[in-house]
Amino acid sequence: MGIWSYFLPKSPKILVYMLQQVEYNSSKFLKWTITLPNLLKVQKRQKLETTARVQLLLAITYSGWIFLLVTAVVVCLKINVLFGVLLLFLLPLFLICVLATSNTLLDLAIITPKEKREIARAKNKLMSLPATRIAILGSYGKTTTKEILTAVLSSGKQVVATPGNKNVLISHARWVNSLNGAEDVLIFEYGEGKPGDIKLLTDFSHPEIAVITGVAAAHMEEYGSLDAIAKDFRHIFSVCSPKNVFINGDSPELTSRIHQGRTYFGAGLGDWKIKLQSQDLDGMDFIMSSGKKTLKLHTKLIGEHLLGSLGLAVELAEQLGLSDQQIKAGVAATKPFEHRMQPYKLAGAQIIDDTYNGNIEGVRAGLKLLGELKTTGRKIYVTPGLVEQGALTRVIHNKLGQLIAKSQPDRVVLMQNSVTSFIQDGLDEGGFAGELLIEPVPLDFYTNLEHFVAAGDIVLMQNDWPDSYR
Amino acid sequence: MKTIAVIFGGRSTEHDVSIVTALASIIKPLELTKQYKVEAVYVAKDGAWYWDEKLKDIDLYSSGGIQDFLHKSSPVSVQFDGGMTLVKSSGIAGRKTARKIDVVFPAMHGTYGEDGSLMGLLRMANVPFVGCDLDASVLAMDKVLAKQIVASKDIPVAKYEYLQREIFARNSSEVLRKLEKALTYPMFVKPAHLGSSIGITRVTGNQELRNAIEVASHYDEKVLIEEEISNLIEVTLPIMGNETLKPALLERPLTKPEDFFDFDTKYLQGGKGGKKGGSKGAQGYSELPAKLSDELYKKAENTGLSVYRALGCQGIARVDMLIDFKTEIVYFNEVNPLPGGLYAHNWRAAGVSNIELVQTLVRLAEERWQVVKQQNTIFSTNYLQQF
Repeated sequence: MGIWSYFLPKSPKILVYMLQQVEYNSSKFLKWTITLPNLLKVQKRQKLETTARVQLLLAITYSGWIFLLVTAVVVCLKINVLFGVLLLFLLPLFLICVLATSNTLLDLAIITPKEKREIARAKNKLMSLPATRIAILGSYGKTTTKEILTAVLSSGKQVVATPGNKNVLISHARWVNSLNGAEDVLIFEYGEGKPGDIKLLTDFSHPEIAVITGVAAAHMEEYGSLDAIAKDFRHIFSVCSPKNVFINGDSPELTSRIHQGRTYFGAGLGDWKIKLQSQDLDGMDFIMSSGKKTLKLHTKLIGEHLLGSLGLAVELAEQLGLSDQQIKAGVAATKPFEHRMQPYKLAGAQIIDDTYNGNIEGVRAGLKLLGELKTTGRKIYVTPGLVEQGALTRVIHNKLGQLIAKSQPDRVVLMQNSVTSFIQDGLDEGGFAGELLIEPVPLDFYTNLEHFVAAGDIVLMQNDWPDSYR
Repeated sequence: MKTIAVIFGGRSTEHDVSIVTALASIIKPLELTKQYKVEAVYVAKDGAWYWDEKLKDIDLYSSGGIQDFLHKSSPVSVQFDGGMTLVKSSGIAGRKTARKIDVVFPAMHGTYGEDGSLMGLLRMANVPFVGCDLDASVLAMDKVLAKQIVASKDIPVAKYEYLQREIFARNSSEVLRKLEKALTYPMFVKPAHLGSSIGITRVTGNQELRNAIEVASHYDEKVLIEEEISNLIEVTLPIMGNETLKPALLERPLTKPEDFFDFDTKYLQGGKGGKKGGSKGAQGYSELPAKLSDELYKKAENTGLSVYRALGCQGIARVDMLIDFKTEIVYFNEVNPLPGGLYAHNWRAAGVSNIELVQTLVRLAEERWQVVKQQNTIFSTNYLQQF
């Protein structure tokens, strides 16, 4: 009976929140509202971020909400009760249409023209800057690779990178407009959400060096297949020489679809050989050797799957003229990034926060690490599943369940949603023998984690499930 | 879904500590299990019982809003219907709301709660409850009785005497003379029934002893006076279980004998180190686990388990012990049938999460109840037919 939630005074605010959650994409918003979900049950994780756009949308939606209610009451009293009640029942549909239409009109009339001007100005500025431009693209591991490159190269160069996960064209343009021109290296993280996105970003930043971190099922509702994603990635070769495009060889889905460029692996790249010496929750020691040259390196990052990106950073550092000492210092400066294989202690337990991980390859790497770690307590694995897997949703989550079972945690906590049963099937097929908990209110778990753990436990938390997904 | 009533507050000097124990260490983890409906039952300082969802919010107490709440609310009634049912007026046309309770989780420290009074009521109500039963609670809460029982099992206790308030009031000089003859300074003077270190004084001379007894008798009609243990290491051991016992970790509060934890130090100033600006709570200033030789650690652990059994504790309790590190004698000090905050920090360090702790305690309560239910309380006679 969620329809009644649209009559509550806070319903316009919740609708605007959900529009913000889908990044003001009116068609995604309409798709989400098509089943008239109960508005009291959708806002679980975050709060509405107040911006000028939000304030305007709130004013419009609230006006619409009041207008229809008043009209319905007046019609009931003055004209016809039945017609008035009918009008009342149209409130949910009316609110959704008012919000989606005003958002689209706002885009067309104000936001898009303004953004076009910002992008044109940024492009002119960018082409006049002397800095080396590096693009990082891929279905997963982009932000981590960007952070590794930034940390390593910064030990000898002035390096700046697109902030956080601001990886769409307008955020790139705004970032470029804020640069002072003294930078040696600019690193761009390319976000792909639909076919054509990579071309847009490539045409804007014209990178000299590019890194493709992998292909995996992500944004499948827009792309439909891994081939379509790879096709989008191939636009990079239109501006970048293949000898300057680095392809992650540890992603078979990528190497089977893109055959140009230079491959890099966790085991090495080019003449470099990489060997892991030791790993614990404080970091990894590894050796890189090429001919007679040997570099003994330490990073605070955890996860063997990161060795490839670390090796790539060393190669690029050498290409850009950094000394061995600078390279060592740069690698030593790499440390876990927020919500990406980020270890911390809680109530005596060791937590590994990998909640920004959004793909099966990252899950595989995290679970491999969990399986290898030694502990006196329990191993606990927590996931809501992976969003935007499109037609592969069932297959991917079944695989996820099997991977979990293989790593043999003592306890698995699944956040209840539409993919939970698929993961459970995978757990059964993988012969999972531990304890399974299904948490109906994820926020209860994440915000009260200290009550669920004890000393000696290792808890790996992966993936995120925003409110706009069910 | 089973309904668990958490009863807290009460007519006790440890009323405020009980609120924190209930809200932070019991209600929250019980609710997070999603396996129980948890009802908060608050016993006000005047002894009236209240039952409301709002009573689960710590802000109600810390802001002082509890007084306003009590003023506007009606106390709850308890219906003994072969079990226990809470009944309250909803305020709408005199309608009553009732909730049948499946398990009670007492969270009361000190008098009228932890001392066995509540357990007696719950036994009469025929409802399973968490923690020690009536007899063990009574013994544990009387420091003198507990020492007598434990000593009868050949477990060492510090040399002690005790007195009744009235006797001291009638002839204090004679009492002091006898005490000084029987015991040597320094001594500790303690109210026999109070916990949380309330009313305890360390004394080194006659006048201090007199004052300390007066202070202790202000809180309790029975006063314990015991000799200080030399070369002291103070340790405490939380234990849970009915038949099969599980000890947590032996913990050593970081205090000196002459500067033991009083109530302020323990709960208000953030432990011994808290006075220097450390984090709140005595637990933050403990050595956990206590750094003892393996042999002494095991000896203290075994002593704790023997005390738990000797006093007939069930569910959960915390045994405090005093160790003379030169002679390596482990003395029983006292037992706490409901440790503040369930000593959850210690259990976590021992590998038991807050949620597992409360779940286990509820399970233990139900297991004990199954045993109690099997006991025959019916004996057929023709006695009444004679009348």
